[in-house]
This record gives sequence, structure tokens and C-alpha cells, in this order.
Amino acid sequence: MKLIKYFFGLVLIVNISSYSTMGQSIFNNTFVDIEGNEVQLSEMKGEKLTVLDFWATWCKPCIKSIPKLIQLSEEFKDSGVNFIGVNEDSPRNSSKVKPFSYSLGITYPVILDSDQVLMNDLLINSLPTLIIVNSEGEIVYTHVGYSNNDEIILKQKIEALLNE
Amino acid sequence: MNKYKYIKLPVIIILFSANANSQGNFRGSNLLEYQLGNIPGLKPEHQSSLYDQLNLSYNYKSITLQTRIEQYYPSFDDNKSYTSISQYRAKFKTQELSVTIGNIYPSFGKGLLLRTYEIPGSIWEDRGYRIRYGFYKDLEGAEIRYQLGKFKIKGVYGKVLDVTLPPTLSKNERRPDLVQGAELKFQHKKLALGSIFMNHKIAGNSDNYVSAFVKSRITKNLSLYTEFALKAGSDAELKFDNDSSYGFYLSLNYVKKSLGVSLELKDYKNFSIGSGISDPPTLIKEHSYKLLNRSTHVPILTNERGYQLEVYYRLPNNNLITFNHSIAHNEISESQSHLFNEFFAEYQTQIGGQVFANFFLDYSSDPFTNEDNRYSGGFAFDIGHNKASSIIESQIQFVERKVIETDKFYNFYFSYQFNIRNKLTTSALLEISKDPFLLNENEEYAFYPGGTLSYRPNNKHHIILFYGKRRGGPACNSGVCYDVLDFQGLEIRILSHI
Repeated sequence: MKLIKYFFGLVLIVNISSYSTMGQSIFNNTFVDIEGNEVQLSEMKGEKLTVLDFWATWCKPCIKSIPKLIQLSEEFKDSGVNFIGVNEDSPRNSSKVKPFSYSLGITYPVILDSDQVLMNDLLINSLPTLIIVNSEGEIVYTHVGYSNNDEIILKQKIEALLNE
Repeated sequence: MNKYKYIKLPVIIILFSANANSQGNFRGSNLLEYQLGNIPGLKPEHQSSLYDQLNLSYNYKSITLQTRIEQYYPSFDDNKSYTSISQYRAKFKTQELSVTIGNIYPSFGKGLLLRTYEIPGSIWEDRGYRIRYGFYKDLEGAEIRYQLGKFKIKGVYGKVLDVTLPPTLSKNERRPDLVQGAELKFQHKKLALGSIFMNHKIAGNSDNYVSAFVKSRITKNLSLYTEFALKAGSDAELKFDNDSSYGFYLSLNYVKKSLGVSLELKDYKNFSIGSGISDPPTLIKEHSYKLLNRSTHVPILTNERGYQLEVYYRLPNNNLITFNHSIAHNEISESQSHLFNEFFAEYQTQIGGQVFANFFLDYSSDPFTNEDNRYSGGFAFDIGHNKASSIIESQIQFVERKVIETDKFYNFYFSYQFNIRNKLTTSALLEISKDPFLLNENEEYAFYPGGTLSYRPNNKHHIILFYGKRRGGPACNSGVCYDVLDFQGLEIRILSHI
């Protein structure tokens, strides 16, 4: 009986997976950046694409990915693509975010989501997660985790989305 | 049959979403975990259980609706099984106003008075109840946020979940703390001033707490945050003696070019609130290295003072040096005090663009666990191949622990991971310990071998398979420390995004 119930549950999940994801503007959110400025996401978005990288100082793969994301952000900065770091450190580590970001040499803006508001709204359940949002506010790509050379996949994805 | 009533809600939401999609956005995620095994040494050796967590979210313009359904079915005890709508949330949000009712995650300041949280993707289980459920400490109630020019106000009302109690208990048992409070914040340029009032009720007792905080970017390079909170209404409130109940936290940041410095101070006295609704900053480094992550210090809020200094320096070619030093002093009684201290240094380097290497050394002393000396070291190499990568990691720890006699023992950790384009990952890991607390009779070493296979067929699904023996103990994740049970057997986890 339990197996039947779970089979039913799995079928349900697979079915709802087939529904398409429509646009939701995630830009209608205000955050504080690592400089202490209050910023509206809509003012930070890219003309064509916005890449949001959810990370934390204790997350090893996040830290590995950041130098590669810095390179990508430089590469696409004149193509209407803006990168934003969304830091998910709790109060335990939040004091380290600014010095850590500076020493990593992050050139794109980093906002603080220490209450995990954006993370919960988007049902993100692991770090790092990178999402690409189009100019309409629709999430067009999600990348979970980071392994060496993943930046190649990201670069190809951004190029493909720019060419659509 | 009664359980099936809970299935109706997601079905209605899903059917509704077919139409709703044309007007808004429907999103969901699911976490399913099957275990076949047990805590090593417990009988039966192989028992199965299935845990599932479904999260659904619908957003249209300013309105967001969310729900969570959790189910747990162990093969060994029907009384431990449950199906429940464990969370629901309705949120209305405009530029100035946000109103949320249901299960929310509010905090005040840096969490000295109130902090709720979720560790995404984590499942809680303790040895007493042996029931698995999502690891989150939420507040069931309402939150309102309103911004008027330079002023921001946040009001919170509701009952906080005690994460140590399973969903098979009643709501009243699981949510013993009632909280009602407000936070007022004024921001002018780089200066923010705030004050908090909070009333807390538990088991017929009612206490008031007040707090004030300042956040400022003093210069371009120097920033400060400080918060002082205390229990109001007692004679001892401003005497700072043994009967006082207060929490003080200060952090200073300094950045210049490639240098980053963070200095934090803490002083907590009789400041454990209710069943544990607060979570002041611990000022102990949260390590990502397995052995160090386990050897942590959990703050004792009845009496703890200390500081943490962390320094980062980036060398050319993205090489990064990290240094951390932390101290925690606990005065348990007039004759008994403990001093935890830790020194940590790490060097991260890139070799030729395809090799990312980390080396670390650590020394700590934690008299609270009788571990007078802990020496640790290790390395990790992440090597990029064509369309694939490998990670080799090794750690060693030597511990001197004095209970009646002094035990001297080693812990080892080895792992190898092979990854193909973030799609297919296989890894083997081995932990070895000579800790006498872990050894059975006539056993010289405790072995924890394991292997994982992880597959992402697309960017919406992730399947992870573990087989082996996993060492438990203290673990810190997302800023929260908790105990993880040992496990031996097979585990399958499926993560889906909708």
C-alpha cells in the first residue's frame, strides 16, 4: 500500500514537471548590498540577461566558482549581461562576507539575503545555485553545484540565450 | 484513510496550476530519500524508511502562495509514520509593504533575540525519536514589513517550532514559544540605527526583551555593526552581574585592495531564550573540512565571552590566504571555567589554470569536551581534465583527550571524486578513527568506508546514491550546528525542481 502511495507521488511529481514555467518578476525585491546600500534588484538587472549566483562563505564549491564567474562577468559586461552575487550567509558568518568578497576580487555587486527570502521564494535547496533571468524576469536557466570547467557550460548557455 | 485527505491539497493546487500558469508562475521542488540500513550496531541491521518533502509555490503579481507536504514511512514502526501539510504561506508584497501569514522565517537584528531558519535539503533525525523530517525552525504566525522613507518597521507574531520535536507530536507540544515583537530601523546614508522590542511567552511565563543596534560604514574601508540586547524588567538588568541577562555583539570589517579583515566580539550571559528561539552569532569558524567541521564548539549562552578574528589576503593569480583565530571563555561556576581557542590557516592556490589546491593547518583546544589539544592538517586537489574533473582530499587529526586518563588518538579522512561535466559524479571516501569512544571491544580502528554515485539527467533532477558506513557526530551547516546519526546501509536521494 505504501509503495502504491509513493508510486502515485512520483507520478504526480513527474507530471507537474511537465508544466511550463511562466515568467515571474523576481526583480521586485529590495536588498542591502555589502557596502550597506539599499538596492532594488530591478536597478541591477542586465539589459538582456541577469545571472544570479547564490553562494555562502562556508560553501567550498561556491568559492571555487567565483573566480570563474568574475571572468565570465567581465567577458559579457558589454553584451547586456549583468552578474549579481546573492550571499546566503547567516548571522554566524555575515560579518565576513564583505572582507571575503573583496579579497576574492569580486567585481560584480553582492547583495545580502541572510534571512533567505529570495532563496525561499525560488525554492532553492542547495548552494551554489546559479540562475539566469531574462529581461522579462523569467528564469530561463538553473545550474546547481559547481565542478571544475562548469564555466564552459555556463558560457555556452549565456551565448545561446543571447542568440535566441 | 484519513491520511489521504492530505493528498487532496497538492492535487487541487496542481490542477489549479494548469490554469494558473497562464496568469502567474507555478514552481515546485521535491526531495525524496529512501534508506535501507540502520545505525551501526543496532538491530535489525537493515530497516527501510522513505521520507518525502514536496514544496509548491504559486506567484501572481504581488501575491505568493506556498505549501510544504512532508511524509515519512518507516518499515519498522507504524506509529512513527506521518503525512502532513507541515507549512503553508501566503505573502502579499508591494514596494513599501509586505505581509506574510503562515510559516515564516523572521529574525530580529543578528539573531540575539530571535532567529528562525531552514537548512535547505537537510533531514533531521535523532536517536531518541528515530523519525525523519525537514530541518527547519520556522514561526507559525504573521510578519508585516513596512517602509516609509528612511524608516523601516517589522512586526512579528507567532509560535516558534522546536526543531528537536517530531511532527508526530501535537502542534502545541512542538511550538511552546509564543513571540510578539517589532523592529524599527532608521537608515540615513551609510548609518543605520535600530531598536527591537520582543515579548516571549512559554509555559505561563512572560518576559520582555529590548535591543538596540547600530550599523555604519565609518570610512570607505571600515564598517561596524553592534547590538546590545537584554531582558527587561528585572532589577539586575543593568548591573551586569551573575543575575543579569544580556547579549552583546560587535563586528568590525576592514577592507583594502586584496586584504579583508573581520573582527567580532561577543558577551552572552543568561541569554538562552525559551526552547532556543535565539541564535546569536557563535564566532567560531564554520569549517568546510570534514574533520574540522565535526570538531566545533557550540556556544553556551548562559555564560560565554570571546572573539573571532579572520583575515583574508589575495595574492596574484587568485591565490588566497585565510587566517582565523577564535576564543570562547565560559565561566561555569566560580571554580570552573573553560577556554576554547582555535588557530586556523589555509592556503588556496591555482596551479596552471586546471588545478585548484587547498592546504590547511589547525590547532584547537576545547576543554568543554575534554579535548585539550587537537592538531589537524590536510589538503584537497581539484584537477580539471577534458570535460571532467577529479577531487582528491585527505585530512588527519591528532587529539589529546583527558577524562580519567589521557587518550591520544588519530582521525583520518580520505576521499576521491570523479566528475563528468557536472552530470555524473562518483566518489569513494574512507574515515578511520582510533577514538576509544568509537571502538568496540578488541577493535583497533573504526572504519567508515562509503561510496556515492550522483547523476543529473538534466538541470531539474538530481539522483544521489550512497552505500557504506557514514560517521555521524556534530556537524555545522548554514550557520547551524547539530548532531548527525551514524548510518550504515544504502541511501537514495532524488531532488527534483518543477
